[in-house]
Amino acid sequence: MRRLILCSVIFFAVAAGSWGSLRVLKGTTEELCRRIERCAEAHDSESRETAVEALEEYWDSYYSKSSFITRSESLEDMSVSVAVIRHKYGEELAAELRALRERARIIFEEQRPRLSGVL
Amino acid sequence: MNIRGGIGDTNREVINLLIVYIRAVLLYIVIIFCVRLMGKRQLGELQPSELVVTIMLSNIATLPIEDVNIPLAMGLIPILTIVCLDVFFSYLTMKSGAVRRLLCGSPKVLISNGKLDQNAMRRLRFTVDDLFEALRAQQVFDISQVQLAMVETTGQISVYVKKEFQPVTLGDLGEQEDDGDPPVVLIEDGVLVRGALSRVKRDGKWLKRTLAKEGVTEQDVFIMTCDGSGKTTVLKKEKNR
Repeated sequence: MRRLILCSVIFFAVAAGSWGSLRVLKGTTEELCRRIERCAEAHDSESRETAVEALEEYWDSYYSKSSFITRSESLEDMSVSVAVIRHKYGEELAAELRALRERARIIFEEQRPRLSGVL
Repeated sequence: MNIRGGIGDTNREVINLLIVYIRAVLLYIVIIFCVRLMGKRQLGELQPSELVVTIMLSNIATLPIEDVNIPLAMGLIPILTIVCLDVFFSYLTMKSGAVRRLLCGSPKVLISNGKLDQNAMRRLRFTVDDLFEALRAQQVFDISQVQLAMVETTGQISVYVKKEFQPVTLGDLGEQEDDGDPPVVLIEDGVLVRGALSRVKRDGKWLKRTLAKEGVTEQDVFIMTCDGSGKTTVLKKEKNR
């Protein structure tokens, strides 16, 4: 009986942990996308500088939280993008930000338990 | 901001080696814990579902060790989930005969009343070679000696030979002997085994007296056994160990 109770606790803890990690990933992805949007909407160099800095600062937090449940190859690609954003301007910057946002969205969508993902 | 990338290949390999090392240790501990949780016996006695679980666990456990890009959670979560499901189903099979038959099957009779059921052999896809191999493993070399043979759900064959071919026992000779448990190991490599003295209904004082008669202390003993009647066997440690 003790074994059954212990297994029940572990089973539901794993389920709760998995669900919780998805919620955390959702929150961090939304925050990352917000900061990407701010970079995209920045019109002058000062606000751009502030927005990029905020994105870079948040990137470490996003990376460390996502790396528990995501393959590190995807995150490494995004790390490179974040590293070069500071030196991009105009259309190049917009493209880089779009790619970054899309990768973050894909990472989150891959973790969602949809039928197509499960099968 | 930490700049990831720009790390030399050699450093990355060293980091990967360390990660693999740590993951191997963690997963080893988790697998041991899981196998203890499932209460497994040796491989040859596993039910089909248990065999599947064992194989799956070993495959899943190697994934995060082989590929450091895979998060450790991708190994731990399926392992823990499968183990818990196995324990749940094992309790279900204990409570319900229908579930047990569904998951484990039921034993099948191959030989009954000394007569081989060839249809059963065909259904089980048992060849004559398989049958004779299983009989030889049970020290039976003549099929005509078999009264009953059953294929268990683990795939093993249990054999009951005809009475005239069964070994003679004390009961057959009319001899009466008191029943008793086999000897229990009391001391292993100089250390007293916990709970052993109570199993033979003895205490520490008795142990000291017995060892004193042999002229040894507990630390000098390699193996000491005792049966229910108090008969002891003491093997001393060799001097050059």
